[in-house]
Amino acid sequence: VKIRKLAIANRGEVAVRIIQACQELGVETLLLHSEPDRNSRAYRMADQKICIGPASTSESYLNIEANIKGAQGGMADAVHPGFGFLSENADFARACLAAKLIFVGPPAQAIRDLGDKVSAKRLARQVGLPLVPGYEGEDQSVETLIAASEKIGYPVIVKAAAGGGGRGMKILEDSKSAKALIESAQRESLAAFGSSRIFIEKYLSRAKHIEFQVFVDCTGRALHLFERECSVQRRHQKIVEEAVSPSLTPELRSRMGQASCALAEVGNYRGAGTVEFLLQDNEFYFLEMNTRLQVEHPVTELVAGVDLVKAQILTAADEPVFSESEFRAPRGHAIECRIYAEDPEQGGIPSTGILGHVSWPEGPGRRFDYGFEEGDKITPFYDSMIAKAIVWDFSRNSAIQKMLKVLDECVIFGVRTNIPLLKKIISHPEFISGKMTTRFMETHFPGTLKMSALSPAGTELFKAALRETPKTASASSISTVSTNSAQNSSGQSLVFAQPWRAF
Amino acid sequence: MKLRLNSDGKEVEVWAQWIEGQFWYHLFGETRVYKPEMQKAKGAQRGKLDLVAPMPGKVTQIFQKAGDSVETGKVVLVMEAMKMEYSLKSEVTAKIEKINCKVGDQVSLGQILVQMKAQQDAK
Repeated sequence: VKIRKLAIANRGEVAVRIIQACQELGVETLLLHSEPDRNSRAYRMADQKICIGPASTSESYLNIEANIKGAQGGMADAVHPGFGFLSENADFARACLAAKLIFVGPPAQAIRDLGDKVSAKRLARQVGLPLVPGYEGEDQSVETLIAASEKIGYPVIVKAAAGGGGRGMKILEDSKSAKALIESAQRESLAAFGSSRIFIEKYLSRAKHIEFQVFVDCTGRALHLFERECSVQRRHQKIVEEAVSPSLTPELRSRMGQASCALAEVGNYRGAGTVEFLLQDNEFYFLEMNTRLQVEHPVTELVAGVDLVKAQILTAADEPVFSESEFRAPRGHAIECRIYAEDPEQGGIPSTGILGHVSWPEGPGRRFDYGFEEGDKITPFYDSMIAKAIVWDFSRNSAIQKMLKVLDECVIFGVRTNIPLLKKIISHPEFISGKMTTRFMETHFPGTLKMSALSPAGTELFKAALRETPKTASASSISTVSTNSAQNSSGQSLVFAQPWRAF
Repeated sequence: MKLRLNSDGKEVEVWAQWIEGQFWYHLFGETRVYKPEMQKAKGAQRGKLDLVAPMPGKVTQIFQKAGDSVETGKVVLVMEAMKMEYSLKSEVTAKIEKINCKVGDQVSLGQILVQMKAQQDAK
């Protein structure tokens, strides 16, 4: 199989990431984009682009037919779905196959079997992966439920079988209060969802989020590229990720890694995938599998010395990628900070606008994955993640130090970002100790961040800067300059009418 | 633009730029934005009680209609941007005078979505 032209069914920094991999492999790129995403770095980088619809994701990035038509119209022979959008949609994978397009990802059946939570748990049980202990039985008598709770071991959490959103949820600490709380949960569940049926699960109050990167090449053999820890998350949105976890011993790493590979193999998986776990008191529990590339894949690339996106494309083209002996031990430590366009001083509400000056402080062991540049518009239509800062160093402590320096030197004008929050997170004693759990954010950063006031020296500098900066250098005075690249419309570049003065 | 400024005898690098009437600057490792009075005055024209879009986005739910009375903290409408939901609550007990948007509308930052009237003593 030969991939000559690859269509990218995605946007932002991941589209850029895929284009860069293709450029290195000598594969042509076709960007399938929405109308507003003409103002993006991926649009400027792609060899060819086709607009597949308006801003609304349901009419563009989530529209299977529009993506297939675009890929066919642009004569692509493969499609990379990136992450999010259609990346874990088995119907899209199947539609690609039907349209004679290579889907860069696992087979549709593997997405169905491993991506679906219920069927993934069944397969996990089959290969002996531990699940969060629980009771989901038909017998809902209070006596049975108490017996089940005791068997699981306190504390346990009671959840309404029919519902979600926290309603009907109770935490049982011991057998004394169990009866009253179970009955109360049943009543609430009945009132809220019309069914008193409840589930019981072991309550993991201090768990870490640990995930294993697995890769199955074209020979069908699965290997793991160690783990990532992503315990720093807010409302299930990851914020800071690292490889490897400061909490795994080599022995535990090897056990969890082998278990992850077993799951990938039993599900006939292909390419890059991630097996997610909760870890508490050295016991791990399977959560779910993500049948795609992950946002946080760069930290794995840095400690394993691989290029996961190129490996995905090669695997889709039936070429072998990794040799048996390559991954014995992770090297050094990598941390990723997700940069969100949001206002930390207003509880993280989205911030949109035209990007002004942006600078990324390049240097050894520093990597910046970004999808937008000066003059681009950050719109309210899509996810607020605009970039990722990733660092590598020989130890976790030195990586944290490097990241702090990097975050100090990142300049992003035009939209507010979570950078002030990121700095507070990675300098927090609990993060530095490596002991953070998935409750880290709600415990230490539940609300709005208060920026410190400018020092007197800072105020003087601010006044001087205000005096010296001409208003003409504003982002609204962007002039578009077209160059003469005859082949396609990608020759447009945005140039700033910006004076550069030094004192 | 990059400025080299002198602070207590030391040269300090400061990035600064005007973008759409706001002054952005990066100083001592932090990016800040300064909104001159002109900018603030624009917002001051609206009634104090009105609900204003805190971000550009789409109106996804409206729970009240004109003429309704709402209590402090009551969610009047829900907006969505960047896949995140944001509830706009009434900051006071007041009467809704007019709703300037409908579900599905794309609204811009600072747009007055709901006009409110202070509720005098109950009639």
